[in-house]
Amino acid sequence: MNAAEMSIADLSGLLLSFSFTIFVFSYIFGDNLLFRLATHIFIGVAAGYASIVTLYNVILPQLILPLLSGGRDEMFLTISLLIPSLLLLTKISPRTSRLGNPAIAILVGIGAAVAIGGAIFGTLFPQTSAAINVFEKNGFINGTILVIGTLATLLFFQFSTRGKESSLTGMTQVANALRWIGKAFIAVTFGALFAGVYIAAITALIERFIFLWTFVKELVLPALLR
Amino acid sequence: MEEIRCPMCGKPNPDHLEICQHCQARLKPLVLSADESSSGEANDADTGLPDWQPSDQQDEPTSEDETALEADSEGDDWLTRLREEGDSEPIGLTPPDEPPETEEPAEEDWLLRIREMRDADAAPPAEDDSSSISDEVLPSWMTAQEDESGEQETSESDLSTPDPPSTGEERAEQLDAPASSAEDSELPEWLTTSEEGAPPTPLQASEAEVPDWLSAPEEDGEEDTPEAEQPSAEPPTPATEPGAELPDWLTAIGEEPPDPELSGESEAEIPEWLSTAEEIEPDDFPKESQPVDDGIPDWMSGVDDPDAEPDLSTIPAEPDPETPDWLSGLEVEGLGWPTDPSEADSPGEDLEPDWLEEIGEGAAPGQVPEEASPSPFLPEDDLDESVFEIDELTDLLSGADEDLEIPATADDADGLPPAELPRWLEAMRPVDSPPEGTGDIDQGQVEQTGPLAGLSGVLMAEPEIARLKQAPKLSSKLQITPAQQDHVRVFRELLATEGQAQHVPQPIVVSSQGLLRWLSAFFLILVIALVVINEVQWAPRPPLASVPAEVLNVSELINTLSPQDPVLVSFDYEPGTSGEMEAAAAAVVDHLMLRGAYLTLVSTSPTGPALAEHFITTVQEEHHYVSGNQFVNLGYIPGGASGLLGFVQMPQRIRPLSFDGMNAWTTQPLRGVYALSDFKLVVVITDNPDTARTWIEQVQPKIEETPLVTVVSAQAEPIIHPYVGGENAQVRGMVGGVIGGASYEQVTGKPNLAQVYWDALNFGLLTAIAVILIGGVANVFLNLFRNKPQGEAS
Repeated sequence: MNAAEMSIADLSGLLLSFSFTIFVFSYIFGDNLLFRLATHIFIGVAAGYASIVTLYNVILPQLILPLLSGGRDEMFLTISLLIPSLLLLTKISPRTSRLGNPAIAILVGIGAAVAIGGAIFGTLFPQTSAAINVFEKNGFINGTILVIGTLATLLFFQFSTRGKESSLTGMTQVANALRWIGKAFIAVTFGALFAGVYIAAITALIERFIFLWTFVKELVLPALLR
Repeated sequence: MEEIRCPMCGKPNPDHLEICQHCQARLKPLVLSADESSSGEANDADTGLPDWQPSDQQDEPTSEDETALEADSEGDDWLTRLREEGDSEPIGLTPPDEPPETEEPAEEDWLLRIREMRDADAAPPAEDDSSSISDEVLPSWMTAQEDESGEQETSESDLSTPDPPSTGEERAEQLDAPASSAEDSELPEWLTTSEEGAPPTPLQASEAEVPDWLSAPEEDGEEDTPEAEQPSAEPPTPATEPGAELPDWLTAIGEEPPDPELSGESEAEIPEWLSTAEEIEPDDFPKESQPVDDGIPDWMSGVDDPDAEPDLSTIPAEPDPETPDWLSGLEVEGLGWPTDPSEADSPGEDLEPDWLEEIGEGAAPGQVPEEASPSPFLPEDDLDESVFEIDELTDLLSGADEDLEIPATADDADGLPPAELPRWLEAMRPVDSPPEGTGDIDQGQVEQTGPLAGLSGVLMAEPEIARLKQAPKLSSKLQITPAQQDHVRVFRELLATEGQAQHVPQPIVVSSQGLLRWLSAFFLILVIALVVINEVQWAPRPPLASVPAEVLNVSELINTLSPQDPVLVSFDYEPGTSGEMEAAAAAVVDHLMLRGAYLTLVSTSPTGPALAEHFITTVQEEHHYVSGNQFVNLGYIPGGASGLLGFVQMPQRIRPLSFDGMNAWTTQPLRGVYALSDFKLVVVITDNPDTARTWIEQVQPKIEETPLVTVVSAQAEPIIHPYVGGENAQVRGMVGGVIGGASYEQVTGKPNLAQVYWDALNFGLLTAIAVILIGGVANVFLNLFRNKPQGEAS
């Protein structure tokens, strides 16, 4: 990275990146203006960028261009899509928001159907099949651990009234033990998720430090040493 | 001129005034004095004032009363006087407690005459007609009385119950006239007068001014009513003048014809109530004696006075055959005795009444024999069924019963043998203790006081209210229970502490959080900075043997690719995680480029196309991939899962243009590709587990044999890991985070971004672990020291 070889846009980009990184790091001193400024700018830039992307990647190629240069079938299809799209705009005003309900209903209905269908055929059935064949895939030890972990976790989410200690039967005591094991598996799972989040955060921090160090080493220090 | 002093204001007033001229109060009371009443009797008789009407003028008889009696100008005043006398003092039927001795000779003479007449007369048959009997037996004075036919209103009661001596002088004066006449002609004057006329019969007397109580037995004939006994309780009264003014009811009686059975001369019209009584047959009356609980008739009101002593003891217990026919008929029929001698208790005995025998023997009338039955009722066999109007008769006798016993003691003092109480009277006598078997009467309560004293079964006017009860004692002291006292105490304490300020414990100021945050951040930043700045590579690389299988699977899948094979790469991560995702995916994408695969870039995130462009042109700059030649960026796929599903089904329709506006499907990377299954490999690079699951759920089932591998963030790796497995798994391979990228670099043998981050990441993780451990231990010790005082305090 050489500042003399960099364009103004790249150099401005690097300066902004460096600055906003420092602004975000300022949160270590608590909530401050720089941090709020950085977060607001990021949200605004992201929203603007998403709007531009949506306009240039969705609306123009899939809604406007077919009407202008598409064939008849493509035009009818586009018009049939354009009408509910326009009705969605009526949600802006409470008076006309009822007109957008059918389009919302279509979107929600289709989305729910797609999500449920995908969950059933993409997660539930395959995961059930994988749990059945756990010993075949993972061996006896891993399979046993997976079976115990699965059953114990399911038993942990069995909600019922708590009986008296004296009235606990043997079956109830076994169920309670499995619940405790399930709780342990859940704790390990949450620990793994937290570790993954922490690793991701540390990685982002490292990436930012590398950026900062690179920026300082290649732009600031040469300028200062010069 | 005399003055009268007003009783109200005390001021003098003229004598002739009746109203006070000062205060308008009445000077002369409306209630006349005794003198005035006696002087006004003549006027009352003239005006026809009924004798039963109470009058204050008749309260106290005086000498003027005697004059009035002698004059006999008042036909009905004798009843009133008798009543008045009965109220004031004992009259007639029984001698007073201390009868004056001066009157005894007269009475004895009078009775002796009756005895002589009885002895002279032969005993008539019991069944003889009353008229015939009267002709034979009646004395002359009675005969004369009968002939007078209404001139005098004497009755058989007058004869049968001669006027006894009274206790006072007035009483003696009242009886002076018959007594004095007896001395002269052995008969009383009034008897002498009667002797001159026809024998008096009750019917004849009723023609004149016989009162209802007297006329009733006369006209009833055999159906005697209790009224027939009333004369026995009444003192004899002198006859009144026939021309005296009578009340209406007496006038009506006087005009009624007498009963033909008793006397054909009596044609006086019978009152309606008497006519009704006449029609009553003996069988209509109850055969059994009935309880006595009704009120006393008005005509016997004078007898109610306990001081009065009606001489009921002189009433014969049995009909005397030698008595005058009118009297015997009255006695037999009126008193309920059987007219048939065979029905008598002792047919063979002398039919002379007991009272006459007692008179003859000198016994005092009214003396009650000791053997008198205490039963208040006569046996059914001894009673005539048509004897009494039970109610009135018993009431009458109830009042007289008390008087019967008093003279008995008086007579005992005189040495007279005790007289037998008539059985019929004994039967009706109320007793203090009701006998057994008296039916409903037994259930009643014996009256203790008043005119109904001694009667049982008397209905009390106000049985409960009239009884005085002692008022309950209510304590004026407040009664408080212990529980209430506790409540009062608590309430007082509450009120007392209400105004006092409560001590608010000082909150524990946690001032170490900022310091800990500063220290944690300082150490972490320091370690990472040192590692990055120094570019140390102290951390060992992951050994190849320990590379996860899913990472190896990704490498193997990529190794199976041929150059120019279309590979779909999804950049679905956010700019915030671009550092991690670029480090994890750099080795994989580098491997793909090394393999010469054509890349088609898509994203379900709006920022994804830019990140993809940046990744290809910056991170993988060394491969010199050109858009449209080696890769094509299809851009953003809107609609989430639905858009992704549509892209799977109609990729060309959903994303017809590239991110830079070219016709993407005519570029080199997409030649021969019409569906997603035409791609040789699908690589999903995402930091969001939901996005990865969406790709797995929506795309993987549609791409059939095309393998799907994921490069995910470390935070999404635990969630996506269940989908990763063997050949039939939904995700054929996975690279997770920097660690997965470093492992993949180990597999490929080419260092990349993961190598740069590796040392910093490892030292950063160690620092974080150290901070967590130190913080945990410090927290434990702090809690121990913090809980110790609380435990001691507790």
